[in-house]
Amino acid sequence: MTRSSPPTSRRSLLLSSPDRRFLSSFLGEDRNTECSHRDALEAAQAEHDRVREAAIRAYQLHELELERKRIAEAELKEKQRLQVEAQIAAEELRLRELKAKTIPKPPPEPPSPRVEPPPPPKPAPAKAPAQAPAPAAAKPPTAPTLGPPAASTANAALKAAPSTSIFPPAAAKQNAAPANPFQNALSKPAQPNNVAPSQPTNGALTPAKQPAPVQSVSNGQAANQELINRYTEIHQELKKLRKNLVAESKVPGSPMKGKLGAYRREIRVSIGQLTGTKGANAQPTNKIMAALRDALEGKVPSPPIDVSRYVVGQREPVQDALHNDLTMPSLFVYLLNICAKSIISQFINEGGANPKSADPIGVFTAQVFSTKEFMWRGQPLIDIMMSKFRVVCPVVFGSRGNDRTERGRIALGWKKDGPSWITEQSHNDRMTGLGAGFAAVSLRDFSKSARTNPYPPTNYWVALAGIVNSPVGLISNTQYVVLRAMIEGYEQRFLNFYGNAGLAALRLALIEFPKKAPEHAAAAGSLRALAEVLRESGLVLT
Amino acid sequence: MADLASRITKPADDAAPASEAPAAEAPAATDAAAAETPVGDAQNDGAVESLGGSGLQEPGYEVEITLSDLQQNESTPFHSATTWEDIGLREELHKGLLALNFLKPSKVQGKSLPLMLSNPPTNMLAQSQSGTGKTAAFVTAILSRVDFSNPDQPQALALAPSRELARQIEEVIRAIGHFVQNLKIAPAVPGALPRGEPVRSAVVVGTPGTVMDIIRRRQLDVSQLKVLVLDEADNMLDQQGLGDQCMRVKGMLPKTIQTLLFSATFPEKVLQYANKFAPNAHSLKLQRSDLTVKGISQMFIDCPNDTTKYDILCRLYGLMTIGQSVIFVKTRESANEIQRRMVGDGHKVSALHAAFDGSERDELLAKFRSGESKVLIATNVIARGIDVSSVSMVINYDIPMKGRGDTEPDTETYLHRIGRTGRFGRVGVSISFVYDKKSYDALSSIATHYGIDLVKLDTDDWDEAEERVKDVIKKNRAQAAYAPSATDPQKTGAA
Repeated sequence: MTRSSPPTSRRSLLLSSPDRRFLSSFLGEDRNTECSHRDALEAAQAEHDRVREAAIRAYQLHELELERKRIAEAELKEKQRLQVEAQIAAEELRLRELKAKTIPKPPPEPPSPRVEPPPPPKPAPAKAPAQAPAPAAAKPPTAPTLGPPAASTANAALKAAPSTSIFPPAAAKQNAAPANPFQNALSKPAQPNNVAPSQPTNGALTPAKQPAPVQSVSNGQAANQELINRYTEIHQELKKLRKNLVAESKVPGSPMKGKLGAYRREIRVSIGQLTGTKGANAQPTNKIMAALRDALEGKVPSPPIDVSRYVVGQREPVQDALHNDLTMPSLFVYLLNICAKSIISQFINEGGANPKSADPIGVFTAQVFSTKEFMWRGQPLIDIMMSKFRVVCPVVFGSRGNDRTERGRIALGWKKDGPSWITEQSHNDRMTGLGAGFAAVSLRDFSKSARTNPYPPTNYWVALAGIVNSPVGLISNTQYVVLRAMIEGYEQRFLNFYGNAGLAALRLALIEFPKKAPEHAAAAGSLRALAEVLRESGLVLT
Repeated sequence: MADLASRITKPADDAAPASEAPAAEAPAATDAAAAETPVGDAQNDGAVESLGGSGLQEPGYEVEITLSDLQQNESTPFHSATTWEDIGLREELHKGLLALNFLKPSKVQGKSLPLMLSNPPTNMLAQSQSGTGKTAAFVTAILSRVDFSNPDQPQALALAPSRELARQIEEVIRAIGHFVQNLKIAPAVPGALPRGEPVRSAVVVGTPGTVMDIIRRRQLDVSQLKVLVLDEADNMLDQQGLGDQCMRVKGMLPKTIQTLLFSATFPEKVLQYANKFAPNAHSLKLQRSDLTVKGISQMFIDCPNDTTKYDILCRLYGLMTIGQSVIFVKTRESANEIQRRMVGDGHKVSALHAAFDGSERDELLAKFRSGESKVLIATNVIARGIDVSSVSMVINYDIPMKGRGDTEPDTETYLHRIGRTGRFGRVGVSISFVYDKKSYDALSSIATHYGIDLVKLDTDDWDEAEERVKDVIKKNRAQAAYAPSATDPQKTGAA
């Protein structure tokens, strides 16, 4: 068997050179000297190592091959699942449309409602039997939400009820394609939290570093609500701090007199100077860092303040952290707060008109909050910023509402100017800037950095899921506007992080989600148009 | 108002929102209750909303509409469209507009497009404040009129007073026409077209001089032109040189061509001339008091002397969140000096003035537009039309003057300058510097001319100045929400 020879022949090859030397010296006088023994031993050792390495390499290759096959298989399954899912979603939507037609206005078109009920059963058995019960379940929750949406919006994010609509088909299909737990995450409405289960299985595709959000999220809606409540508290605490410090700085003889405002304005100017040009942001960034350091090192003395008021969750002192005390200088927290405020304001004012301008600000944000000096007990103080973000753009934290109702608007973060709401255009502008800003902050790639990402991409996923899974009655233009801004220009980054799962998510966001749009929700059309623009650039989602 | 008209002509539109009426009624009631206090007008907005009209809280401004021959033709659909669907655009254009995030037509678009697209084609003169979507309005009209099965035949011509503006219009056409197959645009600006070759594009955009040249040289076949647009029409018809050129160009075009005139300002004498240029035009005009965009907070600073101006200028950036800004100065020397100092302070600055040639200016402006530079220092070259949507502050480092020896305040230029900010109803701030009697008098005469309530900004205590600016912006925005203004929920222009 010639096949059996390779190992031997290889061994002889490997051995050949030391061997020959050995043989030639076999008859030599010194063949029994210690030296020659050593040589022989060494040769043997080298040979052993070589063989071992070769074996390990072969083993690794084999494993990689297996992994490749596994992924290919998973991909195939994923594709199949997507197809089926798309069909189901299409059916579901058609059904819902029909339902929607029949419920709100029976008088205008009396014949159509009569005709409509039959279709649902028809397509349902054709494609997926599991689906038939689903629409039936879906109907009751949708109908009430259409009526008094105001009542439900406040807690919209937490409502599990509407989610039943797509649940059964999803679950049913899961059995068919167990390789794709991913689908829970997207097809269950109302629960951004469901992303958690998807993560471990997507492990191969997703970055490995997302432990923190998973924890906070996996406990479901309660955890989300808890987070939101905590953010609200932090926001209030920050307001208090701001008021106190400003008042204090006005006291004659205060060391902060004149300094507080000067720092504040300096930070605002510098954030306004950030641009997308490489290397151009060093000067403004350094200025802001210097201001924060001044406060931290007490160059301008300020009373210490308990930092735990401004973070979510308990923090214990950890090794290697630069600040382990209970307190930090209040001026530092204040300036970090001003930083966050200016960042958000810049998103709103500049990003609304030119969403591209958000990206360099996102880079800066990640930079500041990942700086070790500005952390407390080893973790970033990003909650200061996110608690503000939650107020101006609740949609990315899973809040939903109907923009034609007062309460719905509050849930959507629609701002008021005195007694009246700001105009629709202004609102859309703000949401565009904030959506782009959110993506700019949450889609930063830290894989080549020694620092830890203060706001990792899981947050983006959760936000996206929270929007895409809105139940029909609680979808409004605002969600489409935010979603579009979150995606446009960030699709590549998102795909880099999430691979195939990201592709499926984009499909849902750009193709399926707009189908659920209420009539004349123009922003849904703009999402569809975005899908077409992306297709031209080579991202085919259908 | 016009909203009523639209409701009458489009019953279908009402039927759909009817289902939402119950939901919308409740907030309307609360709104009314809340608004009882100082802001009576806000109630109107609430009411419109509850009826499921054009959308919520849309501010309105009074527009005088004269419809030529409307009496003779009762079937003329006199309505202002509130959705793109109402206008009945072709699919590609609708998609293009949505892709640019133009979700609904703005006032000027909603009112002018149905008129411009009605048949037989009628001339039109449209006035609307800066940044309300004029460019997108006529670009949409152009793209609707052109027959793209004949893509090499020139069919539409747009004229603008400067190459920057012509270039910008070209970009807007390209953007809105993104999904249109076979769209070809020829830029008729100096140095952009190859000599001696016939123009093979359906749309031609250029400056009057160059266009005249290429017609004379028979490079441009005008026989099939259907639409002629004059952007910044008052400027095009008023200036001796341009007015002449435009008239001559017009004389070489087919007699049946549909002529569309657009501008933010139309002084009386130009208006008469315009009627000759575009006879029997539908016209869409504004009251003079409505000319300035109410959403722009206009302030001024009394500088102790000329030398402190720079110091104050730089500190202004700390008072509020600034996206991009434009600083207008009188001389290129001061432009260069300010640039030097601001760059030293960490700003990314472009200075644009007549010392640069055309392509350099294109490049500088492109840099500003892309956001690579955030401060643009300019002499008057770009006072008009140039649209960079994230400009949130305009500074009149010098008050615009005209006449021999700069004796007279230049009111129109002031308006066009501050119109660079507050685009599409965004927050905008304009700050004018005065430092001696002459500049003070000039500014106050401009303020009187337009009835502007100029706010003085004290800069002795910057903490206070910061508060003050915050208040002014807040107050102005609230006012813009219901006062006649151009804060119209739409955007256009170069995306």
